[in-house]
Formats: sequence, structure tokens, C-alpha cells
Amino acid sequence: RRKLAERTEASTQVSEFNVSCKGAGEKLVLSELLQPIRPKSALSTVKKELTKVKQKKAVELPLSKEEAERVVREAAYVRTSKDVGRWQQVVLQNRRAEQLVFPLKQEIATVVPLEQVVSAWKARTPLEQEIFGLLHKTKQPITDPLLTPEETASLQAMSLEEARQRRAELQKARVVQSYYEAKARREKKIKSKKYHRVLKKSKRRKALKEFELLHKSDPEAALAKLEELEQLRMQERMSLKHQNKGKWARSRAIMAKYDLEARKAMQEQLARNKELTQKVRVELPEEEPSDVPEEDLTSETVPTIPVGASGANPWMLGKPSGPAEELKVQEGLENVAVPDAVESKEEMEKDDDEEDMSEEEALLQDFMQKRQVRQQQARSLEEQGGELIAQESVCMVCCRVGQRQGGSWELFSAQFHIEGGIDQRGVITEAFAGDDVVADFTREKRKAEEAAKPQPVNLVLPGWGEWGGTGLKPSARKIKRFLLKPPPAPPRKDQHLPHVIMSERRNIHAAAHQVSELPFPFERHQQFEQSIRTPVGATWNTQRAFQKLTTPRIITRSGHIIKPLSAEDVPDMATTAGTGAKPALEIVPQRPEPPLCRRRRRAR
Amino acid sequence: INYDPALHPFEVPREYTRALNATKLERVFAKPFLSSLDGHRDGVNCMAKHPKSLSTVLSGACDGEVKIWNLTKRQCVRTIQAHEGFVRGMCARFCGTSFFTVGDDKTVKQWKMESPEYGEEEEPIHTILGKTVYTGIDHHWKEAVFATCGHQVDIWDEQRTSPMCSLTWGFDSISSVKFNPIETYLLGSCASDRNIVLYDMRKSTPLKKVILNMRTNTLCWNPMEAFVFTAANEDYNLYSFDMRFLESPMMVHMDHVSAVLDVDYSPTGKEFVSASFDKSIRIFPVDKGHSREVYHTKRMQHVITVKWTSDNKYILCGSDEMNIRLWKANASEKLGVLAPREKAAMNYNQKLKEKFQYHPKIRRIAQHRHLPKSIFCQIKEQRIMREARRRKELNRRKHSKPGSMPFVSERKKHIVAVVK
Repeated sequence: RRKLAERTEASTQVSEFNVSCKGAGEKLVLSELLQPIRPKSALSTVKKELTKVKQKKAVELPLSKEEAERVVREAAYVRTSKDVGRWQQVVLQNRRAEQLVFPLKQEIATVVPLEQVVSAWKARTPLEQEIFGLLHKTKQPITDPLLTPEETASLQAMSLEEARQRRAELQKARVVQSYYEAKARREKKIKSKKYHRVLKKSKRRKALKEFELLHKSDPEAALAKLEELEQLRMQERMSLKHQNKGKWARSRAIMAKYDLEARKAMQEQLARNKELTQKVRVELPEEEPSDVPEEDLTSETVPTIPVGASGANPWMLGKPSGPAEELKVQEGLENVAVPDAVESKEEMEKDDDEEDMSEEEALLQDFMQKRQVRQQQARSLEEQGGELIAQESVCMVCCRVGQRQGGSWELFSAQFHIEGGIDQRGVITEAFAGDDVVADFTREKRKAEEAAKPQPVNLVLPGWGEWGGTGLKPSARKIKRFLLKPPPAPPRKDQHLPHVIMSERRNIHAAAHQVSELPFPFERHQQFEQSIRTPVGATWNTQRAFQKLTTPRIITRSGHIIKPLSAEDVPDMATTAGTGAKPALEIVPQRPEPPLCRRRRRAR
Repeated sequence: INYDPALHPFEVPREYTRALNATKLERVFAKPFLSSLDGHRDGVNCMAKHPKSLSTVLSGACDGEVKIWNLTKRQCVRTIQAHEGFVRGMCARFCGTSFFTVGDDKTVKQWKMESPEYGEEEEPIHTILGKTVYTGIDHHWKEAVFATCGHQVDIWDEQRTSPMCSLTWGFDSISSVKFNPIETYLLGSCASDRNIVLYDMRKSTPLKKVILNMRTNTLCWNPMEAFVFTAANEDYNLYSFDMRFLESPMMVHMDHVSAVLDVDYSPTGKEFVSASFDKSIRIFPVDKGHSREVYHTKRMQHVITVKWTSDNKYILCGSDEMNIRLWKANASEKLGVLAPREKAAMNYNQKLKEKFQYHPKIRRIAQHRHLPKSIFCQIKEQRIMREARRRKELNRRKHSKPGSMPFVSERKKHIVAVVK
């Protein structure tokens, strides 16, 4: 049998064979679909369920995949933006900071105790293992006890601070040590003979002073010193050193006939010998009164070189003068100052009290007197010779014009001295009779002002709305309209200075170096000018101020890796994120105007 | 020293002269080129910094070779034939013990950072075979997770051979992916569909897409500012965006005369360096629209990749003529330890230059740079073109109804759309 060909027919009736809508926008209704189902057919249960479902409200269509994704994205974006916005404060702070130091977290290198390092190490290669095995067998110690129990105790007792202090102290000591070493090295190199002579003398004097002190404080040590001297003496006597016998002395001997210096040098050597071989009388301090042995000792130990022989200070031949002699010396000085009769009388009175005053006061008095003498002399000189000088200076002043109002030469006449019959004043007035300098100056200044005034622009053209031609002038209305007056110029700087003309002309060569328009970050001219005016250099600022002014904006440590910012670097981050409280100054931009955006001037 | 101002007159002219001298001397001592690392046999395609060692740098070439260099000795320490075909991307793990490379042979390989011992062969720790070519890779800054991009952005766990999750949005190939160093769950990627997409790893969803006029080659996140990233674009500009406000970039950086191929931030977050198809690299401050410095050499051809070292002192650039060049970040800086007086003098000079930077003579000297003829001529030409376009716009605005032509800010001109 031939199968019947099925065929679809277009119809508006909705049935199980045909699902169609009446028009666009019309919806299918479930009841239409259910119509053909007769009750008591197999589909009756289905129909019942479907009628039940019909009563319920329609569920919304689930979003398409794209829309669902979009919703998720938006939510995630908002959430992420908020998370990322926590860093806003930190970022702003860093942008505005005057100085940033990288790496942000400066780690202080801690010294790992050696025991830890040693204990952490394990034998790896077969050789190491073999050796360790051997050590274990023979029960030898593997690790050296690096620190004795006392040392460990002391380490534990010392805190970090103390350790630091101790280190600082050691460093200071090292520095001082190195300084002294350097100094000694420098001094060792000095070869100058004069320097060495002076040094020797000063050393001798110091030794003597020390010995005296020692004698007073610690007699046993003094005895020890004396023994040393004894040693020196013995050495000198045993050797044949300072006896003009060596090579140097022989060469000097040849020169001595002609050269005074050579002779002196040889004599000095011999004197040294004598000094060293002098016997030192040791006397115990208990047996005799202290005064005498001291003086003896000093006289023995101090080389009482007959000073005159060596050509040194002849004034030191005798004993040091007492107060009476000082007085005599001062009197001598007084006699030099001639016109000081009164002062000398004063001093005569002082003489009586001289003995009571100490030496220092006497010196001070002497100084005061000398000063007074000097001042007296100066004054007397002034009175005599000053007049001439004064005259000359006054003349110069008169010659420079413009100091007084016109025709005031008479004011000077009182101060002038008439010398030798020549009337200088008269001569000058005659010479400059015709010159009215001040009036000239004011005229010049007025001319300069007029020249500097901005000129009105003349745009007048004859004709153009009225008759023009030879002999005809444009009307007053036209002139009023076309003569453009400029705005008044700013006041001149020399307005309040009647005797000064300041040129207001623009210096082209300086202008080439100057800024012509206000640069961007500044809002007012005064701000910019102030920033330029303040000097930065060390000539105008103290060292601290200079350092603060010139600190660099970014400091990095060489050899250190700069890691990206993390939450640990900014401890505030945790608090703001956790509490959710807004910081005091919320600068999160509500509207997308990021903080770096430059304000653009809108053209109208 | 007596600080009486009467004894030290003429402060401003004297300091001005010192500033002028300082500027001139800065130009005299501006010798940034340090050395060139030679050894690759094909153009250098990508570079990676060692996170713990300042003297190590890794580079991948277009013939599949990966070289590890020691910068102090300026020598290649290790060579690995990593891939057949280009080494498309490489990144070092945050701990510094291993690094990853992806290549044209659809593999991701993980290698040890240490040289193999005597007798051992150069083999990767781990190889992942993929179905499509991967064009870029970046490792998470804190966790054992890395992301690759190619057909889509995949996020992998180091132990697994299939990605943890794949993030897609649209049907375009993605050229680079970068993790945010501060908010470490954020990623940014650049696609060939001229867009930049941001992703969130925790929620495994893309966040937002911004479509620019032309394609972005790479992007880099600011290591000091969590929400700032800079994108290197084909239209000769770089755009710095704030992640929260993508409708308009924070700053448009214009100075290159050809496509910008790579960008890297200074670890201080204040400047970045960009490598361009015109044979130069430029250093831009983050808040300015023009570069402060340009480095070029006759021998250096198109610069493909650039890196700023982690101690903020040096810049490395790899170009397609097989060399990696080492430059100083501050051209006139004196390297090495400075005596305190030297440092004080340098700080003073720097402060003077900043104080007088607006004066014409000083600005002229400070901004003058010698440029190769090609770049110089291109700059002039592009200026003429820009002027012509501007004039046309002004004329159109002048002769049309007032208000019918709105003013569009320069920043918004380059953005086509932001898609949520």
C-alpha cells in the first residue's frame, strides 16, 4: 500500500499539528493547545497537570549566557574597584611625599650566631661523611665550642642596645687610635733641624716638670726616674759618644776655624756630654726638709748651661726679677709718654700699692697705661692735622652737585677755613655761577618721564564721511573717536625719589634669560618670584638648612632590590580595610576625574 | 662663614649661573650606554628579570634559544635550546628557583634557574603540551600560579597539566597578559581586537574591556600604585589608565614616531621606559605627556623588548639585531660610591636645575637631545600632519553652528568604547 504523503497546511487554528501565531507579537496560549485533547484519553493526566501549571505565574526567562556573564562582570568589577580603591590614600601620599626612600622596608642585617650556622650544616659528600664517621668513632668533638660558657652568658646579658653602644665605643677608640697613628707617622717624617731642636728643649722642660710633680706626689716613682738618669750617666761614661771624636765632629772641626756655627755645634756636643755625666745626688725626702733637696735637685738636673755662652737670651743671665724690679720697669715706660703728667702722678700713687698686687694685676695695669698713652697721642695728632683733611673732603662734597638747594654755598662758609688769604669758596661760586644744576636735573627727569609715557595712537584719516582736502582739518568728533588713548602706565619706581632717574627701558640681554609667562604649577606671579628669590646654596644657608633644601626626592640603596608595594609596607591598610571606616580625609574621586587630570581651559 | 646678606649679594644671578653650568655639565656627562650583550643568533623576542638577583637576566630569541646572562661579567652564563620556533614569552617564578617559557611549538616549559651539574643534561622540569600556540606568559607574584595567553587567557596551577580556568571574552587572539604586583588576583591582557581586558582570578571572570583606536601591544602595571597600568599602543602612543575609570586614560604619552612595542615600569613607580619600532627607547615620567629621555644607537634596530632593573639604575633593551643593550637610567649619573661632598654637590645641582627649569636658556639646554635623522624627520612630518588636522578641526568649528561640534578631550579621542 502506498503511504499517504503528509502535507502541511497553513492555518491559524492552533492544534497539535499546527502551532502558529495570529500575528507578530501575539503569544501562544496554552488553552488552545490543550483544546484537541479530549477527556478520558491517555493525555488526560497531562492535561490536568498542564491546567494546574497554567494557574501559576509565569517564570521569567533566564538570561542569555552573555547577559548573565555581563551581570557577573559588573558585580565583580564594582567589588574589585572598591578593593583596589583602598590603596588610594597610600598612592596619594606617595605622590605628594617630599622624599621616598627605597627599599621601603629596610632590613637590619642580623648577625646569625655562628653556632646556628654550624649546626645547620650537614655532611653531604662521601668524603665529608667519611671524616665525620671517623670523628664519631673516636668520639672527637664535631663542632668547636666557639663560645665558652662565660662568653655566652655575657652575650645573653648584653642587649642589642648595649651591643650597639659597645660597638660605637670600639669604633671611636679605633678612630682615635688611627688618628694618633697618622699623627705619629706625620711627625716621624719631619726632618727639619730647628724643629727637632725646639722639640728636644720642650721635652726636656716637660720631663723636668713631671719629675718635680712626681717627686711631690710619688717619691718612689721619682727614685725610679733618678735611677734611669743614673743609667744614662753610666752609658755616657762608658761610651765615647759626645766627645767630638766621631766622623761628624772631625768634619766639623775642619770647618770650625772659619765657621762660627760649626764651632758652636761642637761646643754643644761637649756640653751635652758634661750634662749627661753629671752626678745625680739621690736624697731621701724623709731625712731632710723638702725645700733644700728640691732646689738642689732642680739645680742639678736642670742643665745650668751658662746661657751667655750659647748666645741665648742675655736677659736671662741674672735671676728672675722680683716685684720691685717690675715696678722699676714700669716706671721707665711711664717716662716715655710725655703729656701724661696727670697719669704719671696716678701711677706714682699706685707705686705704693704695687708690692701688694700680684704680678698679673701689674701686667694688666701696664697694659692699660700703654693704651691710654696711645689714645692721647692719637687725639693730639687729630687736633693738629685733622683740619686739613676735613677741609679737602668738604671741598669734594661741594663739587658734587645736588647735595643742597641752589645757592646755598653760604652754609658752608662757616665751616671753611680761610687759608693763606685765598677765598676758595668765592672761587667756586664764581666758576659755577651760571649752573642751576637742580633745575636742569628736574627738566631732564620730566623729559624722561614724557618719553616713557605710552603714546596715543593716531588713526585719524581725512575724508571718510566728511570733506577732505588741502587745508581742511578732520572734525573734533572724528579726532575724538580715532585718537586711541592708551591705559595709564603703572607708576614709575622713581616717583618718590626726586633726585634719582631710574630707566624703565627693557634690558634685552637680560630678557633673554627671563621667563616670559607664568609656568604651569604656579598660580600667581608672586609665588613664582618668591620661589626664584630664595637662595638654595651653602653660601646663604646654614649647613642643616642647605641639606634640607637639597634633599633628593627619591633615595635608593645600590644593590638592593626594590620590591613592589605590599600590604605589609603600609600597616594602615589593614585597619582601613578591616574596619571599613572612612579615613579622615576622603579623596576618592566620585566622578571620573582622576587626580592627575589637568584642568583644560574651555574655549568659549 | 658669615651669613650676612650684605656680604653675599646677587643670590639669584649667581645661582642662575650655577644652574646653567649644572645643566650644561649634565649634558656633557650624559653617556648612558654601558654595554651590549652579544651572543644570540636571532632577534631577541622577550626578556625576564631574576626576582632575587640583580645581576642575572634571561632572554629568549626568535630561534627558540634562551640565554641567561651575568650582567657584572657581561657574559652569557647558560644557553638552552628551549623551543622550536619563537620563544614567545618567558617569566621567572617569584622565588627565583625556576622560570617558564612558552614558544611557537605550543608548549609551556618550566626550567631550573641553576645550571645543570656536570653530567646532567639541559632539560625542563616540566613540559605542558597545549593545543594552540601560546603568545605570552606571566607568573603570579605570590602563589604557585601562572597565566598564559594565546587563544584565551588560561590560569594554570603549577602542578597540573590543564588550566585551572580559562577566561574568554570575544573571539580574538590575545597577545600579552600581566599580573598586578600589588593586588595579585588582578590580570590585564591585550587582544588583537584593539581592546584591553581586565580579569579577576578569584572570581574567574573578566571585569571590563576598553576598546582603543588601535591595537595594544603590551601593558605593564605600576608596582607602587595598585590601580594604574600603562598600555603600549600601535598608534605611537602609550596610555596610562586608572583601573577604576577606564573611560578616559589618566595620561596620553606621545613622543614615539612608530609603534610602541614594549613598556616596563621603574620599581619606584615614578617613570617607565618604552621600546618602539622606531629604533629608540624613551623614558617617560608617569605624570607627564612627553618623554624626559631618549636612547638610540646607530647599531640598534627595532627594539622589541625592554626592562628596567629592580635597583632602579639600569635599563635593558633587546632588539631584533640579536643584541641586548645595557643603559643607565639616569644618563649623567656617576656610578659607584660617591663621597659625601660629591653627593652634596650633585644634590645641590639637581635642586638648582629644578628651581630654574622654566627659564628659557636652561630649558633649551636641558631638553635638547640629538636624534637620528629618521626620527627627527618623522617628528617634523608628524607635527605638520597634526597641525593640519587641528587647523581643519578649528575651521570646521568656526564655520559651523556654535555648539554643533563639541570639544573632545585629547584623552577621550583615542578610546572607542568601554564595554562592561
